[in-house]
Amino acid sequence: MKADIHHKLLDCIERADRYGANRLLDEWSAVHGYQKLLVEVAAPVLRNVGEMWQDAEDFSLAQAYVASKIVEDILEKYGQTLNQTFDGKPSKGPVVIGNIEEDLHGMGRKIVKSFLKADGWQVHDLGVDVEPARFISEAQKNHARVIGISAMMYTAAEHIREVRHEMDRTGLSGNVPLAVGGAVFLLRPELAMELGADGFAVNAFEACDLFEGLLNRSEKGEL
Amino acid sequence: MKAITGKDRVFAALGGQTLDRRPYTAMLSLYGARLTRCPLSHYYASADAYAEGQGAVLETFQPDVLFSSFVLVAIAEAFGSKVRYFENQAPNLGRPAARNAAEFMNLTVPDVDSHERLLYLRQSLQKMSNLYGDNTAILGILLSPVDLPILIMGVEGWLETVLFDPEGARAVLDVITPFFLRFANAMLKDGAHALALPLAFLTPAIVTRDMAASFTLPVLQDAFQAVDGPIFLHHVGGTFLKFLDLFCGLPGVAGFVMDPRDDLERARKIMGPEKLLICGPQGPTLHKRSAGGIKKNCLKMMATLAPNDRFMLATTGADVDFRTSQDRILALKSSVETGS
Repeated sequence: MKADIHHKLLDCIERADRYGANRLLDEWSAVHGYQKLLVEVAAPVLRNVGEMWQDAEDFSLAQAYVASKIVEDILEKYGQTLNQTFDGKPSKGPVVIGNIEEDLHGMGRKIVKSFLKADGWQVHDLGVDVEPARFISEAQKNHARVIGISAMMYTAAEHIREVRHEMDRTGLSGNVPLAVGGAVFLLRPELAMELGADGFAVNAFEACDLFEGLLNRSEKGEL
Repeated sequence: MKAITGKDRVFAALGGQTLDRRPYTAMLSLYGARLTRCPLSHYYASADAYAEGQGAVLETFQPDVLFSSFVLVAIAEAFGSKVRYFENQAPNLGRPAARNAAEFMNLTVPDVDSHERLLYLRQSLQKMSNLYGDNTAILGILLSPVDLPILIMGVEGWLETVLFDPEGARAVLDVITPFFLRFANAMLKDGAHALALPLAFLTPAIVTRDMAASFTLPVLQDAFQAVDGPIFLHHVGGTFLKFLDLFCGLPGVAGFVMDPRDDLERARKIMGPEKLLICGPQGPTLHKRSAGGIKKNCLKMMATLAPNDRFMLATTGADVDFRTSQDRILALKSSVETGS
């Protein structure tokens, strides 16, 4: 029975069918309840989609976008609080994300935001074209456990270096990990370390694992 | 006896013949500015500067094909989008003019005969055609109606519209398709021998097969019938093969620029013997490879082809990077000279 709903939801995502997914989830949750939907359906299917995205070359942007929209729909419709993950575990804590200064391409960041929220992070999204100093001030204000920055092009990504300088200056380095992602790092993975990042993710699903991994390293003093 | 020209080679390849060697080209739209040391803000605004840059490309590399200015964001500017310019890379879309179909419908469609940014694209093409078009094939670069809205609404705005607002998408296409046809046919009149259309909304990296078949294909089917010249479809940067069977029969399409990761033998089987198959190393990462390695790969690729295969060696993906040394580009020319 559960395998059946998993299969159907996955099929909706593969066909980029947001409305079909919503109908399916509405019907299922009317019988089994919202909590079960989150824990037994949404979480495992999202993990499955994440694996597909890493393995298959042809998991399209449209499918990833629809998957993120379905996550948003679930969060909105079922009143998911930010204090609980899809797996029913406690919140993983606050994070600050944004597109670096001069970068106006926010689509990838928005997909990451949905998946981070579904994964149990309290996401403070600063939007596009964010100055380096603002990442620091917002991280301090919100007690962020991770800072995540997206960049599409090299010229904009260069500003991430300034974020690292500010983190060094304010003492955040070593305590708050700096994660990066975006098209420029797919072409030049070595750039992430050059700019002072603690790690980078190749897609939105990997971002969840990256944030968790970096947080663990930070707590063990390994950054 | 008349010397064989680049244009001769390209047209011979289209007709299934090889003259002295297979044709070759590289996407050197940006690179022309490096050769003439022209600031990019001027290069992408002055038709004379662009034509001069392409003259330097021709002199340095003798490609068989030259491309019109690969600055499609000039069309974005004409619709009101904001564009960011850089010192050593092609400009990029900044803030789109519209976020959704409703905002799009409030925009003024620019006139292809009078808008400054569109005239830059057309006049640079006219100058190239006048100066080099007798001996070199000239390709005009444009986006198809399914991709032009990306320049005006951004990828997210257009994808959101296509996925969740079908009526809005239809309304946008009803405006953008006539614009595409006016501009495409103007480029052909200006001297382009054919058009090259990068097709994001027909690649597996962007859309599902169902979207490609039910949304993209009917639009292109209608639009391409009214284009007055041959069309080459370009893979943008992702693999193309998975959906090739869907669109290889589109009207007016003379060939395909395939991703180097695609299986060319399978691509040939799917597209049939008549189309020109174009492939080669990725332009944006050419600078990271050695000239010897590039030549070795090009020769390996050509060795898989039948002698009468309609093929042109070309860089794929976007522009060749500004930092690329000349020997990397000349490695392509050397490959067709050795391996034809």
